[in-house]
Amino acid sequence: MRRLLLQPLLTATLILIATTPISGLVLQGYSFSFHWQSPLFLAAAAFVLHLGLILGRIWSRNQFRPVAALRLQKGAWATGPEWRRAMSLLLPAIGLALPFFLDKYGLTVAILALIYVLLALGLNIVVGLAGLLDMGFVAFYAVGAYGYALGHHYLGLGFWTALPMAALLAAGCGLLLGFPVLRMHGDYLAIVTLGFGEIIRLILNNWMDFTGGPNGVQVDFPTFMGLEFSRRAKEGGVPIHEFLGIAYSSNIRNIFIYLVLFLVVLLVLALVTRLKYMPLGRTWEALREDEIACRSLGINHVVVKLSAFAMGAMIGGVGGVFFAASQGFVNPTSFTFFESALVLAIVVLGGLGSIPGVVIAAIVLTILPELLRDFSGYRILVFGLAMVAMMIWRPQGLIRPQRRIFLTGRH
Amino acid sequence: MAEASSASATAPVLEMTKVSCRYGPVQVLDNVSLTVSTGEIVTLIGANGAGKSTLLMSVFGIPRVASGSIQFAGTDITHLPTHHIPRLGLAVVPEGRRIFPGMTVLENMELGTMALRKRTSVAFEGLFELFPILWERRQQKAGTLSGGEQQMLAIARALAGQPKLLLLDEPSLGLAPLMVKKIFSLIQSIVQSGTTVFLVEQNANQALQLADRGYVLGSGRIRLEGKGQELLANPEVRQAYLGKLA
Repeated sequence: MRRLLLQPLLTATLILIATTPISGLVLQGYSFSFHWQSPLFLAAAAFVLHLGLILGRIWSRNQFRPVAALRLQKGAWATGPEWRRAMSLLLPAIGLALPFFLDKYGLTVAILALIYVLLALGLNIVVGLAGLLDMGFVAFYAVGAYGYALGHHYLGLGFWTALPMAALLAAGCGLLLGFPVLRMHGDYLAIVTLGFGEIIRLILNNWMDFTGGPNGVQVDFPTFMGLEFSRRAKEGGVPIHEFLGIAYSSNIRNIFIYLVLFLVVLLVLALVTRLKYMPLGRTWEALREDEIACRSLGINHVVVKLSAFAMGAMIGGVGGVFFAASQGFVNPTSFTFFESALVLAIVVLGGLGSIPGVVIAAIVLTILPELLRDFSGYRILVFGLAMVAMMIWRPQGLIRPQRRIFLTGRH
Repeated sequence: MAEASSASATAPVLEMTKVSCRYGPVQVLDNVSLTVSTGEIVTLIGANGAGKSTLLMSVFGIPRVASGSIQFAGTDITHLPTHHIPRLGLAVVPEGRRIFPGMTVLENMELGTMALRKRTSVAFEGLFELFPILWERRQQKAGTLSGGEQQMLAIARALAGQPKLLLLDEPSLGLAPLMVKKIFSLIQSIVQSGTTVFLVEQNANQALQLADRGYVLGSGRIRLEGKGQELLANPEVRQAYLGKLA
C-alpha cells in the first residue's frame, strides 16, 4: 500500500521540480509572474497516471489467469489468426487517416457513427453482458451532453474538464437508476428504464430556468492545449490554423473532434474487451445467466448490477459530451425515446454481448440512413424490415459473441 | 493425524436450530433442527414438497428463515447476506444444477472461485482428475452438455471454491440410472478427499446407502433421524419413500 502511493508521489514531485521553472514562470516583458496552477496540474496528472499504471498492473494480475494448471501459451488464441492481428493494426490506422479524406458532410456522419459506437458499447454492457434490458439509455447520453453544455454555461468548464466530469455524472445517474430496479427483470425493468429516460428528457424540456427548456443550450467548442478552432480566436487566444501555419478550414474542428473521439472509442474498446475477460465482466455475464447461482457462489449481485449500470452509463455519457461538442448546441429533441430504441436496435442487430458485432452495427445503422436519404420517408420501414429479417435469419445478431478458445495441451 | 481427524469428525460444521420458514402464509419448515459434522455424509430425504430444497437454500438465506438460527463452523450465518456465506467455505449445488449455459465449462468453473479471497485455479487440476469429461468439454458452452455432464459441472463449480461443506440438492434429478450411480460414486470420492457433504435427495434408496446419517423430512418437520443403514431398514421409511411394504 505504501509503495502504491510512494512511487506516484515521487513521480509527481519530480515533475513538479522539473516543470515549475518551465511552465510556472511566465515572462511578461522584463518582469515575470508566477503561475503555480500549471505545474501543480501537471504533477497531479503525473500522479494520477502513475497510480493508474500501478493499479492497472495489479488489476490485470487479478485477472482470471486462464487456469494456471493448464499452462497456456501466451497469445495462442485459436480464434486469433494472422489476419485478425493484422486487422487490429490496420483498422485503427484507417480510422485515424479517414477524416483527412472526408468532406464536411462525411465528417459529420463519421462523428455521428463513432458516437453511436460509444453508445452501443455502453448499452452492450448493460443489455448484452449483464442482461438488463434498458430502454432509457438515452438518459445517460442526455446527461453527458447537458453535463458539458450546462457545465460550460454555469461553471465555465472547458471540454477537457467536462469530459471526465460528465462521464462521472452519467455514471452517478446510472447508479441512481440502478438502485430502485435492483430486483426487476425483463419487461418490468424495461418499463422502469423507459420511464427514467422520459423523466430526464422532460426535466430538460421543462426546467426552463436551469436548462433553457426547448430553446436548448449553446455549447462552447473544444480547444486543444489552449488553441482554438475558430477562424479568429477569442481575446488572447490563438487559432490552431495560425499556430500550425496552415490555411483556415471549417473542417479542422471536426477533424479534431473526430480524432479525439476515435481515440476515446479505441480506449473504450480496449476497456470493454478487457473487462469481458476479467472477474467483473464474467460476473456480469453470470448474472445474466442465473442470478440465484451467482449469489450462491458468493457474488454480490447488487455491486455487480450497479457496476454494469454505472459503467454503461459512463460510456453513454462520454458519447453525449462528444455529441454536444460536435453540434455546438443541445436541446431536448435530440434525446427522445427513438434514440434509445435505435441504440438498442444496434446492440441487438450486432449481437448481444458481441463487441465487434455491435461496432459494425453501429456504423452500418448510422451510415445506412444517410445513404437512404432519398427514401427518408421509408427509413423506419426499411429499418423495421431489416430487423425482422435479422431476427429470422440471424437471431443471434450480425456477429455471434465468441468465447475465447485456448490452444493448449494438458500437462 | 488420526486423532485430529477423529476429533474434528465430531465437531458440528453445520448446525440448524429450530429453523422455521414460511412463504407468505404457508409454513414450509417448522422447527427443524439438524447437524452435520465434519467428514460426514448426511442426507435429507423426503417426498415432493416436503421442504427439502427450502431447507437447503435457507442456509444461504434464500429464503430467509422466519425464526431459529443457523451456525456454520461456529459462525452465526442466519442473517448474513447471501453472497457472504460462500466466502466462509460453504458451497451449494442448487436444484436443477443452475450452471451458466451460455458460458464455457472453464468459465463456469472460474466463477466457482469467486468466493475465494485469492482466486486461484489450483483446485482445477484435481477437479479434472475427478471429472475427466469436463476437461474434454472445457471450451464448450455449458448449455450444450448432457444432463449428467451438467451435474458434474455444477459439482465441479461448487468445489472450485474449495469449500469445507458441500450442499447438494438432488444431484440425481433427471439423470439416467447409470449416471446416477456415477454421480453417487463421485460424491463418495469427494467426501474421501476431505469435504463434508450434505445431500438432499428424493432417491432415498441410493442416498441412504451412501450416507452416514440421514434425516427424513415430512411436511416441514423432521420425522425421523438416524444412521443411514438404520433408516434404510426402517419399515416406515421403506413404506413411505422406497415404495415397498414392510
